Amino acid sequence: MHEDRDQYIELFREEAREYLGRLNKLLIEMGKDPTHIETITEAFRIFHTLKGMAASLGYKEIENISHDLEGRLEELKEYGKGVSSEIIDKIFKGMDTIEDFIEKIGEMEDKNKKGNIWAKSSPFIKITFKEDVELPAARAAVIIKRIEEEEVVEEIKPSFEEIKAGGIEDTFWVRCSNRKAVKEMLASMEEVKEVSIEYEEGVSKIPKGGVGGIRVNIELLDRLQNIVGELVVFSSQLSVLLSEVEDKKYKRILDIHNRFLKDLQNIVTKIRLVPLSLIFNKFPRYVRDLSKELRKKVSIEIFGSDIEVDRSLLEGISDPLIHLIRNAVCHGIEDPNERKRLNKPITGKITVSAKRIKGDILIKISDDGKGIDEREILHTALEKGLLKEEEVDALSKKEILHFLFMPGFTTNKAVNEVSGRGIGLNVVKDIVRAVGGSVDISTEKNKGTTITMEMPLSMAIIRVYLIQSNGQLFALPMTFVDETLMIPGIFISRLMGKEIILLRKEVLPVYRFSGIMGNYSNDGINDAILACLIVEVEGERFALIVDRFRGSCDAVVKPLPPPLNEIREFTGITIIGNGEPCLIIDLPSFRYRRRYENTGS
Amino acid sequence: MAARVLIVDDAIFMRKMLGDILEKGGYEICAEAENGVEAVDKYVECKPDLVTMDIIMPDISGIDALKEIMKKDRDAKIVMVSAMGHQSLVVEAIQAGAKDYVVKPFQPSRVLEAVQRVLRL
Repeated sequence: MHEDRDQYIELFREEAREYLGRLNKLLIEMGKDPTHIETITEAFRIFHTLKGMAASLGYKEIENISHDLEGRLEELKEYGKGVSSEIIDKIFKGMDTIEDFIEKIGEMEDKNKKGNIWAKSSPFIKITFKEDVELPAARAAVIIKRIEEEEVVEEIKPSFEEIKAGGIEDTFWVRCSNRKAVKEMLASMEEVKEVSIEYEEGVSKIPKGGVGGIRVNIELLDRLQNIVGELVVFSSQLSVLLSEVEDKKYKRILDIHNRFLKDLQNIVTKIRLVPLSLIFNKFPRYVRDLSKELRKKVSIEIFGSDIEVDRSLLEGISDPLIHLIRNAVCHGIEDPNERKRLNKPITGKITVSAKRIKGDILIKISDDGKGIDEREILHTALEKGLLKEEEVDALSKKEILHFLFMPGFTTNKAVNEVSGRGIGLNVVKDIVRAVGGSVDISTEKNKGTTITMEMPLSMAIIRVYLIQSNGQLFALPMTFVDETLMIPGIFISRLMGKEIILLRKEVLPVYRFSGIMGNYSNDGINDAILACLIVEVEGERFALIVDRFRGSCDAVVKPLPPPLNEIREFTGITIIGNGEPCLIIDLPSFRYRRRYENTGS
Repeated sequence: MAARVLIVDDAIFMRKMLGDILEKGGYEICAEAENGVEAVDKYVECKPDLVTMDIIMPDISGIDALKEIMKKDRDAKIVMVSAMGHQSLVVEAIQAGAKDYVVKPFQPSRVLEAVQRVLRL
């Protein structure tokens, strides 16, 4: 990170000096022709740019001066006034000051680096409570508040968030200014048993900027990330537009702009990143307690807990993961006698692994237990009327397993206090889908079961297909789409009054999007070739006919404002390249509407 | 001169118990309130040196009542009263300005220690 910053600083100094040089010339022209609007405007723009550059590097003084001068010039521009000699003097003075600061920048940066080195070796105060302390997190909060009243608290270990979540038992660490005074303050606190000084060992994560963590409203972070996401998407469109402009000036500014933007995005993303270990670390204890209660022997192995994900992703999958592990222990792993009989090692094994694949994260939970019997699935499906006898043979293994993801589906007859019936996999699928991912299951009788979840690391931006129906544009998340194709209209046939199509030996129901939307259009009915997406929703595959494809893109998802957000058929809204808003479809909800669709006669 | 305390709790029983402990410890109970709204009124009326505030109450919560009192008096000394399972709420209350806390069921010595600590501030 430091080397990057050095690059920017050099770049900044170079650019700033160039701008100042240009300003010099502009001011001289202003002196000759005070009312020439283009000169004033160019000078205004330069100060605006300087302000932005200085702000992004944290050079407050340069930022403030530029801001001031930009403001004055803007006024002149607005009111068509001419530049007076006083203003010109002021601007010259401002420019001189900026020049001085630019000189000093080099020195400042060196000093900051040294400052950080010292921060590295500044020790923590370790605070230990008495054994009988009640609510240690609250006690820690009281102490931290007290310290904050007198001194500056630079860092707390574990973080305040973790402490609040109950993450300490009797010890925590504080790094602050004026350790001596703080130690004395602590010595007089009754709940405190011991106070000592500890130095951090090994590689320490220096909080960027030298000062410790701060608490930020999570909503603000969400908005910040959303806006930065939008900026990135629009910036790339700007780039495309400007790539047609030959002017080198635009290209250079755009380059700098993009570099800063990328940095900004990285930082915003990093702020929200938390390691999977926050939840993975709870699993071993959970498995141990649960298996003891059930008198089973179960071990757990975890891989990939270092991987960092967006905190809202972690919050979202936390429950499903625990439930899946619970399922594995309760319903997957057999009791020791059974395992012995099957010649399996007595201790059942659960494996949790997390892997990063391109922009997604893959989490697998597998057990070497009894697996799920396909016949039982078929049996339950028949019982529940989800399947007819005749259809049984036509189903592939994948389709059989898909039944497990249906609401209310469970092959477990027994309900007991500890394990209940097992969490419905449909709930897991819903939650994973809500974060933009997909879930799959593979299982083999007596061998075991593996649940695989694939989720995008960035929640705010999803890939969508743009489709047009009845003149209106909609976005369909790619997670639902298996393929897109153009099919000749004559390939659609009718079976028992419903439209179907035969695709590579697979019979798929055909639905027309405009029909589902309720404004059945005649567009495309008689077209020779139809735009068609093969989608999969909750295990059901079907063909969706739309009027036109309009490509695909990365979309920044914005939530719909109330009361629109209550419409279940749309998960949100996004603004596409030309500024148009475009509703994002929630395909499962559309499935339920399908029943009322005009079947096309 | 004995320090004056305002007790806030929706349960008569708790108020009595706390009141007895505090009086035995030499404090004066200047008023009692059974909900957050009353708490603010009584605070303004009797201007106590310290307030004990139950963290879970119907209508407005202990934390909201705390915030209202602190709006009226930035230096208000409020001690939260909580049952065992509400640690994060207590932390929230401290972040909002509570000076200390005691946990139910009470140990009279702990209650008096906490009150002493806070009054010393």
